Amino acid sequence: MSNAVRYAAVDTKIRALEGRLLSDTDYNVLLEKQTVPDIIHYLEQTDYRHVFAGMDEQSLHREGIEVRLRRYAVDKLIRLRHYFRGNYSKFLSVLLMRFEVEDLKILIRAIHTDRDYIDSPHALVYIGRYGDLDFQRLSASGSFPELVEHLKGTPYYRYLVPLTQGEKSRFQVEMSLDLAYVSIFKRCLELLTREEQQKVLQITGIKADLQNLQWIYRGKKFYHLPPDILLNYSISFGGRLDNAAIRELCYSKDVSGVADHLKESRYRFLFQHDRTRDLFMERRISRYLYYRLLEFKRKSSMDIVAIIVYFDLLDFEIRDIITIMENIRYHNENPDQIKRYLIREL
Amino acid sequence: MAVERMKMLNIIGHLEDMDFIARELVLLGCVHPVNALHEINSNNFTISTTVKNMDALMDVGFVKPYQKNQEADRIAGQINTLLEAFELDRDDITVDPKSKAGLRGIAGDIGDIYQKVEKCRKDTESLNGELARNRELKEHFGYLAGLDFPWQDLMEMENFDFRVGTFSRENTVKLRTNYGNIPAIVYPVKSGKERDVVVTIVPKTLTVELERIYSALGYQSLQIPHELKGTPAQIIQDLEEKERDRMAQLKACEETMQKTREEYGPLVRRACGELILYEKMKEINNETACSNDFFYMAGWIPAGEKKRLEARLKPVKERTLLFCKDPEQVDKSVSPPTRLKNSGVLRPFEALVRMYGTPSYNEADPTVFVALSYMVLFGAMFGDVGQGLVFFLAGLILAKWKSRPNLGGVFTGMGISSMVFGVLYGSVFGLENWIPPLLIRPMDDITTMLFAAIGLGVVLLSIAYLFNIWNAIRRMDLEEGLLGQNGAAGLLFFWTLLITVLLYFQKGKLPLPMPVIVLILAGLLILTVVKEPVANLLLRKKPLYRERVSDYYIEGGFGILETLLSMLSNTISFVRVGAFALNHVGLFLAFRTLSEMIRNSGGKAVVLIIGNIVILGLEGLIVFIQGLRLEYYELFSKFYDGAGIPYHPVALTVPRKRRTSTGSF
Repeated sequence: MSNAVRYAAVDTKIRALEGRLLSDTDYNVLLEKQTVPDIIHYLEQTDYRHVFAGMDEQSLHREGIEVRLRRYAVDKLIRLRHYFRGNYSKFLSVLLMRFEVEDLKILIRAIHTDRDYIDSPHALVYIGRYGDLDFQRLSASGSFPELVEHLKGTPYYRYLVPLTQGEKSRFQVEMSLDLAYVSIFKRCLELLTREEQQKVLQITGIKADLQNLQWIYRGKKFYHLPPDILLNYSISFGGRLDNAAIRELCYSKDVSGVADHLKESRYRFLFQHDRTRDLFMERRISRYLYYRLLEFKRKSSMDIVAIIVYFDLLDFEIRDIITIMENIRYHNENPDQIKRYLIREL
Repeated sequence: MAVERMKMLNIIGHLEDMDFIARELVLLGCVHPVNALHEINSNNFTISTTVKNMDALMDVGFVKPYQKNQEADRIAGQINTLLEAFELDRDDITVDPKSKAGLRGIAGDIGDIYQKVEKCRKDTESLNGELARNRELKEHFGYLAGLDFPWQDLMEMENFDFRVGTFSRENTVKLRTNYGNIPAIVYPVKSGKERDVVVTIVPKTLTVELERIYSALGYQSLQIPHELKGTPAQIIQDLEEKERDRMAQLKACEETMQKTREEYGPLVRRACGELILYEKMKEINNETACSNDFFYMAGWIPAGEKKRLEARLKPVKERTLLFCKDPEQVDKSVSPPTRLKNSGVLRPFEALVRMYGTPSYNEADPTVFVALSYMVLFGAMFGDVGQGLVFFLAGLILAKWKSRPNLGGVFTGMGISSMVFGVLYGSVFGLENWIPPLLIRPMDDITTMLFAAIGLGVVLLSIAYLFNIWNAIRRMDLEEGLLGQNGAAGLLFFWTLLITVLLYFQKGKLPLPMPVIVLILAGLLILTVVKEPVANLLLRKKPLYRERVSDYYIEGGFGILETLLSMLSNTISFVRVGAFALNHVGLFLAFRTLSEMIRNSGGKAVVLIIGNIVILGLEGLIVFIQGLRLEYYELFSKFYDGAGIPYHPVALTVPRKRRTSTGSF
């Protein structure tokens, strides 16, 4: 099937969906709001109108709101998936697995510490609502090896089985899950056409680079992790930074060594501001990605890029909404201050 | 053509007779069970008060649902396991109706066989487990086959650890980029599809560091016991020997199993017969209510089967109470199931009716009407002697050899009708020069064809109206039958309008003066609108309206529009019968033109044959569906409710091979 046929309908659909993302004006209005219910009232006038249906205004837990917002994103992607058959439908399912992985982490954490937390699937975005994993079975697991046994037959199984030998920390488990997702994703690229693989690799390569930089930087600065751990848990996905470059970064002496290595690279912007480096690193990464994604979208038509970009833009928007709400709850700074923490530049 | 009369059967008996009676009812095979507890609670289960009935009556106050028989269920489970182990198919097993053993009678034998088979199964399972583990170990040592050291020595080194384990593909790559920083000797011995096997030798002092790196890379160590003796090559030999030994044991196990199978096969088959019977009995028993000493059963049986039932229950007659009641004596909330009774030729068409819905017990069975009208409609649209013959033969084959009696029967009917119309139209395999038409050539007189189709529609619709009136009479429903839009008023309106239009266009004059006609039509229409209050007035019932008066008239006003529209559309819809008759000829004409463009006669024949196949397949299907559409939409909507309960007696089902015409297509 040619892409013109495959994307004829879905391209239009995505255009429509992009039109429904929040506008800058929406953002400005949201920033002026004083309370969380005010924000929700305003969102109910936008495309998020059904997200908060049936939610008790008095008990707007942060977590409840976030879960609902994320489910909104899942719903959108599932709706887009209806436009595809076969390999492409599978590919979109793999994109959705990102949420599944996050939920699995929550489940594992709950098994270790706080069982009450997962008495019902409310705390989870994906499992128990979408996908094939059986929430009842998983949450009934008494231990981590039991949970892994319940995952038999899923793509996660073979990545988690080695972790059932001996005592493994939750850090190891969660890192392995993330890396498992990366390698599942890498493998599923084969479902796409050669050209599309290239394009997706370009985008995800940048993402992987930035993730790696953040991981190495923080690992070094805050956690003092040994270089081999930094290296082994980094993503080998090859954007601009290949394995050798990552290795060099991991084994460089300290944080300033990392910054030195990147002096000439396109990612130097992460290390140029000494005072605000730590505070804004994540936002800088996201904002950089935001503009790169828009650029990718401009250059492409009738291919998978549009979907990936839309999905990320939606994710960014949801994260911004959460940031705005968090500000009301914890800081209450003025709008101009908050703008600095948002991914979208106003 | 009828719906079979049913009777409500109530049985009260002593608990110890329950299994016997249930068994006899299953073998009789015509009882449609009803929940007895529900019957008792709704006071349908009436017992005449006599001295003889006293005990049973006293007990009625303490009834509860039938409790499952756990003992029997356990035996049933064992038999099912045995069936699997003996590789027997339930469908091949026939029930011996004379056997009186029951499940409990064979429990002992079955228990013994079950023990034997179970032991065999467990042995096989553990042997298979051992073999699998053995194979795994053999594979592991295969990686180390070149090592000429005793395994125990390797395991017991004082300053070094010797490990065998695997990494996933991508992590091996990562490991390789960092070889320089790893405090151990790492030696890849095999690269698999997903995981690579590596041997690691690490100084004991550095194991902590190594483990940290390894666990980050998802290292999975292979489980190899330390205490194996000899070098890897010797160990492999030992393992192979062990494998041979276990294989021999496995074979012995299988032989025992085979012997058991031969020895006890017939017994298990018999047990399966009992099981099938028991499961059917359970269907009846599950609907039964029990007290401490008595049981209460209820169900529907065809009125004609009463004698056979009594004969079967003769042995317990003295101790059992048996009542048969007519449906009229039973509470209205329990409606009898519907069993259609039609002669052999018409029976396949029951499937067409059932596809829409089973008629209610009090509704007229439309099968005859459907059979005849459907055949006429199909034939008129698809009239051809040759193609009809093909359908006829296909129907025979389906019914006889493919065990599809219903579809086959409908096909034969369609085929016959198609042949009859083929003679009338003078068409054989589309060719119109072989026989003269007895009636008409569709293409020669298109207008007549179309008008005739509408005429046919008018006749069929009128019959549908009559059906509705008849049903209303049976239900004693004055409102629908006399005043409803599909009742007498509707029919009168339909014909008045029809005659007027016909006379006006044919002769240019009206049967009655215009104002009178308008008055009659308007009167009839208004009658259909005010049917509910008028009917209630006539019957002296209150209140006159079941809903709010304003709502009723708003709905009624739209009802008029609907009446007029549906009357028009239902009638005109029948034009398609003529249109498809023309279409049938037209499609063939296209193929004939194609064939005439070909010079050699072989080619001509090929085109004509292809044309016939296309017409048979494509047009046959379309006409088949259009016929159904006319039946369901135009006709059934006028009179047919189809809200009945199908009659499902508890009976031993006949294996599929011998199944006669039951069920749907």
